[in-house]
Amino acid sequence: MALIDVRKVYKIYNEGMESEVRALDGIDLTIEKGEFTAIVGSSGSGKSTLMNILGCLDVPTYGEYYLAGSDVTELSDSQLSRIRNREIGFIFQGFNLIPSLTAIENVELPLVYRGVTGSKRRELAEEALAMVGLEEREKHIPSQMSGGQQQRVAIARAIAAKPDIIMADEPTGNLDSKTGGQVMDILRTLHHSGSTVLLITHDDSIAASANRVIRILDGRIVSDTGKGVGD
Amino acid sequence: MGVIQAFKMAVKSIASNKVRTVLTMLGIIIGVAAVMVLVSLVQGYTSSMMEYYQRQGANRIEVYAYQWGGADISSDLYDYCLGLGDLVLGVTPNAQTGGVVKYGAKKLENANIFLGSDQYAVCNNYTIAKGRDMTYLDVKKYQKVCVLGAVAADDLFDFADPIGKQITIAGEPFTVVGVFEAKYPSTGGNEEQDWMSHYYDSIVVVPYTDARFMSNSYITFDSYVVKAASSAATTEAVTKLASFLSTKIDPNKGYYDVYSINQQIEAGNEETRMLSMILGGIAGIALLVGGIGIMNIMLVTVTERTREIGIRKALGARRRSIIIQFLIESGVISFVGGIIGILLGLLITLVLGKLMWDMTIFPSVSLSLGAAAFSIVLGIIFGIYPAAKASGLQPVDALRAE
Repeated sequence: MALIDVRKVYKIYNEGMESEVRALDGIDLTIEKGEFTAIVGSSGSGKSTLMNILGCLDVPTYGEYYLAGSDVTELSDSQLSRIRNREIGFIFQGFNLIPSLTAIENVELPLVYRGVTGSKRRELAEEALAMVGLEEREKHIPSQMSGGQQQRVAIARAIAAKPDIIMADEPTGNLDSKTGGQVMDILRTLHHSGSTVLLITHDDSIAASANRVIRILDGRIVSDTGKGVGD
Repeated sequence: MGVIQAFKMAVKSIASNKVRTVLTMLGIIIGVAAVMVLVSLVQGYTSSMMEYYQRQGANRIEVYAYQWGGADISSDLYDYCLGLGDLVLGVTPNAQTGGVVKYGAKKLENANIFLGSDQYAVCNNYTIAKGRDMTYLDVKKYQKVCVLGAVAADDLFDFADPIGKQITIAGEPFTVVGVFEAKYPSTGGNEEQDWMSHYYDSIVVVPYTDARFMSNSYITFDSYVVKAASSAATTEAVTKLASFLSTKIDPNKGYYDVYSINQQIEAGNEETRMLSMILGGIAGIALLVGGIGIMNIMLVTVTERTREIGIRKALGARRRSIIIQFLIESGVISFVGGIIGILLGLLITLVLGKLMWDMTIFPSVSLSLGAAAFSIVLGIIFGIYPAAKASGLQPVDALRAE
């Protein structure tokens, strides 16, 4: 059973009207546990819409989506929250840290919603920050950190709750090539340690880090290098 | 997420958004304090007025009657009032004169000397503290006796017993037969209080018939006080006195007027009601403006918070957790604001009451709590409204908010 199984998924805005937009136009896709997959496409191709649906941040207009065997489209809002909290870790292009919270507090957030308390939570958060090399920046708030540091905090937040899947939407988009490289190194390390990594990018050189590249255009998959769990 | 965790999160959010917190609280503080202060001012004014009337005594009728070249009507009025029987408790001329009052070396340079009947005390709400009051016979027989106000007695006799002592009033010897209870016990307070104490308690009352001994000063009998038995009796007595005076005073040569303290209180009440409405209206506007301030600041931060809610949802927050967090957040801000508002309102009320009337005024409890409850409910509603709305969005839509 595939970890992610998407069947005939459509995302249509303003359906039936003249301004109808088919952001996703019948996507079929399966991703196995442990894969490092890149979804590549130009701006407006629908790649971010696909990631939002795969990450349960959005719902498809039509189609079925099975995540680890259960039909996501049937789930309630609080069940979806549980999936976002336990199964998936997000890394956004714009970091999406909460500006009033310190680095460690941001990293702790998913653990808070998971019900992990006290020293256990602090321990997991510190561990995650150490993994991205930011143990010295625990008490800094986002505005006191560089873009690269903020993105590493966001990665630490994504991995702190040890989710099965890491989803990264243009994680290097706001970073220079050196810090971007560091971020990619972290994603590769996560893949090696067994995580399923899904990377969204418009940049073929970034996509080259992945074992599988899916190309998307006008809401449709136009090419797929095929599955490959190993290196 | 537990309630304790939600509480910690709310407190963290409050502490890290100081400007928003202060602005929201300010709306509540100003609204609550303004309502309390304005309404308390009306209360203070009313009770200071009521206090004045109470010292004067209820059911007091003031009579003014004068006629050029006419005979003194004092004894006619006295007899007429006796004829009214149960309707009237007392009647007295209310004539006043100045003059030096002396006891040995001690002097009162400007004591208020009143010429009254034996019912002077009843009519002016004095009670005898020591000795006796003037009697009907004192008045009839031109007895040279007097009753002292509490301050006059203390000033002349230095707290020694004045009963039976001889004093001189405008050069004539008089015997002190009694001392009144102080109407305005001096508390060493402000100027107004000292003045009241002097005016009402530094007095000497002598039988009005003794005016003949005080020929050195000019005394007119044109003002009288009648004390009625009840509020109904007051109304009836006013009518009767007016018709009696119309037979005595020729309108071409004189003038008369009869009015009761009750009528004044009535007019005062009307004035107070108007004042309450005007100030209450202003207070209402203050509360409304405060409320709009709360709404504004809560709604202005919606976009910023919508994104925050999107992030929280993406990280796995359930709708319930987010609403609880925002509920606690706005609840804490509103409550703290409400409490500060109440304390501030209380403080300003106490200070103003002391400065304006030398009284300790407490704002109405129900009103203060009402104003606070209104602001708090408003703060909470507009605090969770954006949260409730944004937490219902798909996370991706909430994240899109700029």
